[in-house]
Amino acid sequence: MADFDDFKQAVQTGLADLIGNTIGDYADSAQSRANDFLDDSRGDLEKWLKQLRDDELSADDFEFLLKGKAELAHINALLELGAAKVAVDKFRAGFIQLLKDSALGLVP
Amino acid sequence: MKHLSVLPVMRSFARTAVLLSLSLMFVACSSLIAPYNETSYRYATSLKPEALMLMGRATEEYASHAAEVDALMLKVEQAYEYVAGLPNNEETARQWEILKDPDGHLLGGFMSRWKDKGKLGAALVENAREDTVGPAFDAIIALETLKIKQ
Repeated sequence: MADFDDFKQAVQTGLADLIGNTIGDYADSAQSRANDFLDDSRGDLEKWLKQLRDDELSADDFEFLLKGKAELAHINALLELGAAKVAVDKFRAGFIQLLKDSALGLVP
Repeated sequence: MKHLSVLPVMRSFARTAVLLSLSLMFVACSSLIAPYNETSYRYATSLKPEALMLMGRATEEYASHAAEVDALMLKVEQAYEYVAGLPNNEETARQWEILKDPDGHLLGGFMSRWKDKGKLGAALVENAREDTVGPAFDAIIALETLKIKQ
């Protein structure tokens, strides 16, 4: 007989997959993007320092680039904030679908 | 007493109906962020190569490229106005705002610097193109690409 416990069980079963496919995927991608940004920034800074030592880059230009990198970090943070909101929207849409599917699965 | 045996089933379906109603109300709530927008995507992907190409000319006299810079920055301003007018699009709008800021250190700041100094050094030009302004455009494009397509 269809009852609320069946409904609850169906939702709980689907929830783990849904979290993995929305919030979990977002977390993995965000971590990967953050690591890439840090690696790139380190490489860029080393290159700029060498150019500064070799007089290819003035101190003023070096400072301009550093400030640009800080602004880029802000733009990347906005990317992550937006990506988190997308993940929540996807989770919400998936959760609604899960509720519907679980409820409709109880209808004989 | 047949009607009494039917009661638990009715209660169960009533609960399900309530949950479905709640879920529909949930769906009706607006999204946290704007969906993918083709025009926004095209603005970012077309302005990136245009901006980087013009930045590459910054080792030459600004005066001979002033009209091109004005034309480019006008397009950037139009892109910003477009994305800022979309509902729930604050993150993308703020990204463009930082990129175009003439007092900043990305595209807008680069053009201001070029104008002030007349011409810029090759190392600064290449580093700004590859390490700051280019990746800034990439981040704007990446956020648009991540958004839900409707």
